[in-house]
Amino acid sequence: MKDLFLPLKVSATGLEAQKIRLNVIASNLANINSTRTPEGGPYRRKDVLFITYMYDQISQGVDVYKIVEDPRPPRLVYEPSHPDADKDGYVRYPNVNPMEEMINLISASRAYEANLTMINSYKDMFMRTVDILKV
Amino acid sequence: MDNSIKILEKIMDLCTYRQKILASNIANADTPGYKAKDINFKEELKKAVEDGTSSFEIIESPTTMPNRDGNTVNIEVEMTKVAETMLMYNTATQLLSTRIRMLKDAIKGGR
Repeated sequence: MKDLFLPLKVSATGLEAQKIRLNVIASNLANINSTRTPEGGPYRRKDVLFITYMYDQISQGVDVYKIVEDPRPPRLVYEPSHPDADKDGYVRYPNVNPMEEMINLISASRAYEANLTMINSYKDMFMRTVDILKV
Repeated sequence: MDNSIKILEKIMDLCTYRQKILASNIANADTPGYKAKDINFKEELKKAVEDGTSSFEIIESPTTMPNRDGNTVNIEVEMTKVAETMLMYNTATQLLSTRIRMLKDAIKGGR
């Protein structure tokens, strides 16, 4: 019985991982103009790293290995009147690119949907198997 | 008893197995370095019916050029495979039901 529902678990790990990715993208977009963070400096773009989670030889789920910070340098904008401007008048804005985030967002939501479709198809197959009993 | 029930059973078995592999591929659509997997349906079905083996060979089946991160899963191709497998499974269960109904009718002697 454990093996029987394993594909559902695998797809659930996919849903969970993509949801975390969506959350991270949402944070990146929300902080697109945050020049201050509790750690100091501007907000740094974050990304999730996925890793395969092995249930057995064929059922391989996915796990969020860790959330990493994008090493790219912050965006410098000349704004001498900004309170966070340095002595040369440059403000360090987060290294978030809205286009990039939107593309990641689409990719994440598509992947989420695909996992959901997978769950439904497995459920449907299972129910059809049960229906054989009704003959 | 003819062979049809046995063959249908093997088809269902193989479809479930393939669906498990596809579920893993889809879950790992964004995992760096993950290689898309599949089975050779026709070959495995032939083996299962002829030799009665129930262990199948998993092959690496890249559905796309590897991304920059080495992942070879193409979600569109995978979803097509899911639909294909599901249709095959549905057909098999339908045929199996019909076969069982026919046997039942025969046992009842047309009453």
